Amino acid sequence: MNILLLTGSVFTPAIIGGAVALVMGIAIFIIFKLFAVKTDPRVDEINAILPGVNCGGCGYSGCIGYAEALASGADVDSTKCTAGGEDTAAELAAYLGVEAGLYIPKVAHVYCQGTQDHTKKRYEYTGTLHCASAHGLYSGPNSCTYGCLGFGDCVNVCEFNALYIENGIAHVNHENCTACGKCVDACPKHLIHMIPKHEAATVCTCSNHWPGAVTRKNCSIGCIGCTRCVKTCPVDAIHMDDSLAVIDQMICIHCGECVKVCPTFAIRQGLLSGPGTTVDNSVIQKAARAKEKEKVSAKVAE
Amino acid sequence: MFFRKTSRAIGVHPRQNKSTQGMAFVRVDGFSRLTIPLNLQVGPGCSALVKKGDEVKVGQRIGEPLGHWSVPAHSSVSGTVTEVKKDILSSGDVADLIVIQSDGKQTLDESIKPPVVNDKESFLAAIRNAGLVGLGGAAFPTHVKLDPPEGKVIDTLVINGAECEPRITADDQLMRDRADRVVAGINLVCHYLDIPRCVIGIEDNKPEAIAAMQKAVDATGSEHKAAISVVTLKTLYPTGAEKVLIRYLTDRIVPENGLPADVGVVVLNVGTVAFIADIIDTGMPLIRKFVTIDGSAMAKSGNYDLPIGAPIEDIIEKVGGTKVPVGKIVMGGPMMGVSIDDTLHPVLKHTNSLLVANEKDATIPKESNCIHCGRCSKHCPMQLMPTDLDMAARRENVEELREYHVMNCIECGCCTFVCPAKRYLVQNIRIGKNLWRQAKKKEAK
Repeated sequence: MNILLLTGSVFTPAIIGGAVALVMGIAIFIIFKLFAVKTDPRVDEINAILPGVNCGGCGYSGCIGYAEALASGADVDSTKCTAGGEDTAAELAAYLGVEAGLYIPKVAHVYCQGTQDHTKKRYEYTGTLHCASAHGLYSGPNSCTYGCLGFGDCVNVCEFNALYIENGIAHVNHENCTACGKCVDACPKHLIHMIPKHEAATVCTCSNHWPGAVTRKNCSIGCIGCTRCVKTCPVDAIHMDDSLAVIDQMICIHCGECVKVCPTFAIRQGLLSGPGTTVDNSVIQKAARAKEKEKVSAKVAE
Repeated sequence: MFFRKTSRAIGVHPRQNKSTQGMAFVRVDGFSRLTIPLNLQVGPGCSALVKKGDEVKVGQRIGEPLGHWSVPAHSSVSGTVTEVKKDILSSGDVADLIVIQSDGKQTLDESIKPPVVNDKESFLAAIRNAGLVGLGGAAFPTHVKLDPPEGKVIDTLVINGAECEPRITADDQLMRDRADRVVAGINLVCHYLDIPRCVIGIEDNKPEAIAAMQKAVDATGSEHKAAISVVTLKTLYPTGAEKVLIRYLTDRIVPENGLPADVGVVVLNVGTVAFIADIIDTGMPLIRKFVTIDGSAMAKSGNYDLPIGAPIEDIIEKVGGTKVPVGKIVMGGPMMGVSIDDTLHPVLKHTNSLLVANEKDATIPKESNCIHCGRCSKHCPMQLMPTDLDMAARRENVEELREYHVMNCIECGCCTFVCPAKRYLVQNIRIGKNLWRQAKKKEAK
């Protein structure tokens, strides 16, 4: 075929274009096959089981990260998704064909009860309203330098609306909390810890390592290190860390004996949820103690 | 002259208010109850050597240092230890406090005798045993400062007699009274540390001090171990800040997060060198401090010689009391001083002034919006951009803080002083520096 014949024809560019496209198409197909990244089809399927909130609670960069780890066998623990909870753990175990591990639902707990009624202000803070900033200025304006500052750095990072500030300290809404652990990293005072979710969780809600006299001066509800709870505990779940009682949540049987003997009401029992439902634990404790006294006096009378 | 002052002097001119200038030091004694904290300085502090009921004498060692950065604590009175307690300090730290009930006799401890000094090690040990820290205001332990890390050669000793803060005149008075001791101290430091040059920087609002220092340098001209020169600086705040002073006197720039030793310089306050001479002569530890007491609420102001550990409440009472209700008590100068939250707070080793302000002076002006006039950048002696740093700190943007070199800030407060909108610039930058430190700590983990 004489190419000149086609010169000026309307089909020339169409034919040339078509030929180039065909060649390129074949090239792309070959390259695509040659350099294809082999992906495990299970990754997408596992990802579909996961809740897809990308909270990072499992310790991976997101849901896809955890899915990849599970699919590749790098991680065999199917209970790491805190947002999905027990159902997701069981579903993952069934899919992967592994034995479903023991899933312990956890919840964030703020280790401080020093509300404005219980603590004083050392100075007037006029800086940026962030905990990290206030902590940098002589450990914050509160009389207790271990306590919650109440500016809500934890509230700002929480994606599940599970934290709120009430009366100057942070509280956890236990129904919303998925134990992703973002607030744990955000708190400059390291007050938030994950504890097993139990209706009657018994926690020494204080982080104050000062000796008793200094604590008493600065906070009326702090742990003064009297060690009465340590002596009372029937299962030896409590130990002293530099004049602060620490209850091991894995050993605790929630019997509530320590709550009864704590002189400052620093140990609190029971979870609470939602703003406005703050349980004043000291009132309950006082009532319980009054009842106990009545019982004793009644026995004596008998 | 080898050294030349840089032509670029940047800073502010606050009203000097040096009404106490020329007032001789008045020795104040007779405090019944003294509180001596065991961590007066940078570092881990001390452990108590005495317990409740022990008898102590003047200059007796009551705290044993816990690390290389700590210096021992000494009793400044003779009497009985009534309490060894833990309490919270203004800084938010909990420290051991030793409370001593004075017996009024002021019996000297027998162990005080001139130390035997024959080389650098024994010289530094003598300084450390006397409990000496930087008396200029930062309380950096002197024995650490004079012992630079290996590989760093110190060729210049800079003596800070600038005293650029308004109202304070304690260093001025010290140079007039004890110029010969300052020069003796310089000779000792230059001799044991093998430093060939020394520059004394004094602001030109202290002509008597300059004359006295010049006279003292000339009088012992032939005995000097180093070439000492007295340099007159223009009166400008903050000439006395370490990094600024080094730039004016030696034209060297201390790197960000660096120490003066990185550029071959050691900076000592005039009070510190004068005290070094005293230690070597008498062996008496640091138990007294020259302090300027001034302020709008004071009935009488002046320069005083106070024992360390005396409660501020008693001091104010003893030196004439207040004439109007007190709004705020500031420890340190009006530009950089820290207000205290408790009048029972003791005088510390680095306290160079107590300012008792009335209620009007103590009010903090209300902040308004930035008008982008650029005055803060113009007056920053470290040539930073305070308004940008301030905004980055408010947003807690550590990356941006790093980019704008927040750690170069010396917290002098010039930006806040000149700001027409009364923005809390230096306050937020100080918080920004802490955010930077917190971020660095987290990274290191």
